[in-house]
Amino acid sequence: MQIQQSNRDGITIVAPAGRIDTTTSSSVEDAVRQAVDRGARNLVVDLAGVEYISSAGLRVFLVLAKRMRDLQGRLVLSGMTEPVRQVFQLAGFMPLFRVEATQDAAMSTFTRA
Amino acid sequence: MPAGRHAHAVIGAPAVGRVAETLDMFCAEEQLPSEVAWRLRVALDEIVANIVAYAAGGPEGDDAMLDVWFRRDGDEVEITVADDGPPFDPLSRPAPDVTLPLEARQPGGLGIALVKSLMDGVCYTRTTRNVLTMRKHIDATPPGGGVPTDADSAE
Repeated sequence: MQIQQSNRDGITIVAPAGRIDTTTSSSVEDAVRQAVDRGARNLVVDLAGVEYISSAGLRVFLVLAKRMRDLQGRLVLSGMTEPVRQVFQLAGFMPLFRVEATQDAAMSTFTRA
Repeated sequence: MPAGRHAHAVIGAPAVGRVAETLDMFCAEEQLPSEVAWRLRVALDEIVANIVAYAAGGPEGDDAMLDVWFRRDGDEVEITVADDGPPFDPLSRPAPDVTLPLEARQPGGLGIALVKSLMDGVCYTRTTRNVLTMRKHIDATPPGGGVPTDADSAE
């Protein structure tokens, strides 16, 4: 699985592409954990390239959300494809996350704060 | 009668990818709509990962196998998963409370709840193996291919 990482105006963007399932979720987990370990407190995870997510992937986001809250960091998810959105919804995850339609919209939530 | 597909693997981490590859072939052969295909992929990922997790250290040891049969019958897809792991009915697990606040959320049990939501029918029986059958109806109308709504013609 491909995971792009970038930094813009003090905001870290992690953009995984492909399927987030049992086989690939650990690479996503490693990528976001390392980003936070390196000090990222303003984090956007852009899901525009994600085909679908299974519960192994949901687990990664649950752990990440808890960690960001403990660190008083901010996490915004963006670009959810329809399968990803549906799985987040079915799992009751939508209220737990700040979700924006696009990466740009996610970025602008930091400047508005 | 369509041929369908069959995957046969030793229960272990590599089985998850192996079964997923067979599902991909089946989806391509049957030209399943993407909406159906991703639901099958997520559901099967949960089921096979669960089997691998629960079979670890079971009495069958390294000889424990799992089989997955993929079959299309008209506008319905049926996936049957049989494994030699210890008797375990995943459907008996209580559904997680999806209304709890973040700090009270636990990841456990989410997968099976998802499977039930994503499929049209799931049932478990115990023979000499665990046998789980999932059914998904193939909708004739592709997503977005329905009747235009008022929103489409709004200025």
